[in-house]
Amino acid sequence: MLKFVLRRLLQLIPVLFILSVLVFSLVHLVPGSPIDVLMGDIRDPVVEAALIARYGLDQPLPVQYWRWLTNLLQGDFGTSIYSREPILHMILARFPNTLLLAFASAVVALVISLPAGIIAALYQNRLPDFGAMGIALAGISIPNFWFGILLVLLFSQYLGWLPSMGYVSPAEDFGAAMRHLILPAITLGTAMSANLTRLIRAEMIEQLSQDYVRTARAKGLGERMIVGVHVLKNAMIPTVTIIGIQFGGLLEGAVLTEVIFAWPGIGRLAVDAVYERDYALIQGVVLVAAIVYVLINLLVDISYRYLDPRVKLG
Amino acid sequence: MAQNTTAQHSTAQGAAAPSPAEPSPATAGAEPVLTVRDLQVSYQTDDGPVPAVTGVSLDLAAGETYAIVGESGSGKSTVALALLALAPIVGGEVRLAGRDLAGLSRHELRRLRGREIAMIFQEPMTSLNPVLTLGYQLIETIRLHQPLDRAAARGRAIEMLEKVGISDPARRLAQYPHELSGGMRQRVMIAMALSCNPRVLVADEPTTALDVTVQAQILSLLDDLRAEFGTGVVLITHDIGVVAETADRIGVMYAGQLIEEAPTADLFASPMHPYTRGLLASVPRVDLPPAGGPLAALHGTPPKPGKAPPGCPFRPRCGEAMDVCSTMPPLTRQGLRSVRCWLHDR
Repeated sequence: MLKFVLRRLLQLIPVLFILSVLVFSLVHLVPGSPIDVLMGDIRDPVVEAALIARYGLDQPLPVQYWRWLTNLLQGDFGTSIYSREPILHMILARFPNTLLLAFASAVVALVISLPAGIIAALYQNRLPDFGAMGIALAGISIPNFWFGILLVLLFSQYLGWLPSMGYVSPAEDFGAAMRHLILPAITLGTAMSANLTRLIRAEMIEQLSQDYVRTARAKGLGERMIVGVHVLKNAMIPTVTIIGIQFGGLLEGAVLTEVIFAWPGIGRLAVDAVYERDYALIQGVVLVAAIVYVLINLLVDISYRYLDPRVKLG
Repeated sequence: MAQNTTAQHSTAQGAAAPSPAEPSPATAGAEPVLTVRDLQVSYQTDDGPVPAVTGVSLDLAAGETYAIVGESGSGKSTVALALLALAPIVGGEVRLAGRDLAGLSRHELRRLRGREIAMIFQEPMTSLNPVLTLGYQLIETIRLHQPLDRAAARGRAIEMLEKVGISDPARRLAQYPHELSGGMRQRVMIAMALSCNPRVLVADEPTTALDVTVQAQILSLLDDLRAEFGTGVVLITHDIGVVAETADRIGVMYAGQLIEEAPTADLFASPMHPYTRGLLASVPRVDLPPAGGPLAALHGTPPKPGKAPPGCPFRPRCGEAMDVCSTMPPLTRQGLRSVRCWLHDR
């Protein structure tokens, strides 16, 4: 087990190295530079040259990359050109917000998709199935941000039940924090549940035709136990993978949703960084997101060991 | 083996009146634990109902082994499932210990399955749940039907595993199906099926997926347990050679019908139906001098369910078909035997 985790962490090194090269190259391929943004309307070549030299942007790209990488290896992600804050700080400050939103969204997604998928499978090709699949199809087809806006219109504008945007720390005011969380979590969670419902339905149908289900019926087990224990435990194995991958995606920041709801997460940080061409910040955010993604996948693999006894880690 | 137990039944209590509806002389007298009368099973498909079993009748006495032999598609596995009301019965009746399954609620049926009538399947690899421990699956079955606490049920599970010849049973409870060989898994299935001491065990091709040596072990284990518990066994197989030693009586199925039924020794000695003769001729025999020349084979294939020609379904493949065969032959009784063929309709 420990060996498995260590080996997976070692595998992370080449992945991250390649990623760091890609991120660095992409960022510098984007037209415009932070100096343009910093200079604004000022037209002074001397100041510009001084700024360029100050941030080392006059150096050849490989040199810039090397400097960034060596600092990174010492735990120094650099500082933001604008806020002058250490980038690692900025990311760590935003990350819990994204984690909270991702977690809440995953809960919403599971609360919807688990019963919907199971019921659809049990009533395959009958009305409840068509209903669940129709809603899932709509969920996949409707753009996320548009659905978010509709939710804001209904629950904030017309009904006035929930705040339309913003974030309150649960440590300050738990109730207000939850009220601010509900709409973005529903927006993301429903999007996630659409795919999950279809997956759970397909897995359940597949598992319901397995021989062990016949055995369970032959020994007199009730359908509730058959579905709830025997079938569900098998159906959850592939489902957990997808949940993990989707959750990893949420942790990288749901960009559109965070922007619409003014949610101070990683996604919005990334968008702002791109607008400002804050090279070091973009690189830092993408790198951290990648690390988180890989770690989530590792957790999914480890969870396999507990869900599927046939899987041996090593 | 006990080929003559059935004969004993009938001679010992021969005075008892046979039931009016198709009395089976083989178990007449001894109250059969399982009675099947004119069983009809149809599966619903997109093209409408497809009959899989069309009129099967049989009796099973306690402690008896009744083998149903047939090719794949003959409906034998459907009969097996129907005995537990797990296949859509559309006509006829299945009586277990005197109770008609058709009259039972779903709840009552569930209480019956596993306790009064249990089943083991062909594929021990897939018939156990791969993600639950053997202990969980065994104890679940035991506690479903017996008022035992967890510890007592665990004790019963260990006892059953010992009975089916599994070493170190306490440790096995924590293992998963994939950690056992196919033969071991089938032993666990048998332990599970017999854990509540059912009156009837339905074994659907229990050895087909196993190595030949393991096959013999499992069959003899089943036979020992049958004798010990007095369980009636319905053994379903496509391999008539498998049942020669263990079955008391054999019923041969073709296209959803029972076409011949006889005590095992009689069937092997003098098969009456042309199909049974063909089946037996296609089994290599070491106890007979070689006939010289290739082993006989039945020509053609059995009709698909619902696609049988009118009259005798075996007619297109039968070397002795006559004009009269275009109408369905009746089931004719001759002593302990019965056959559905115009050749024997006297």
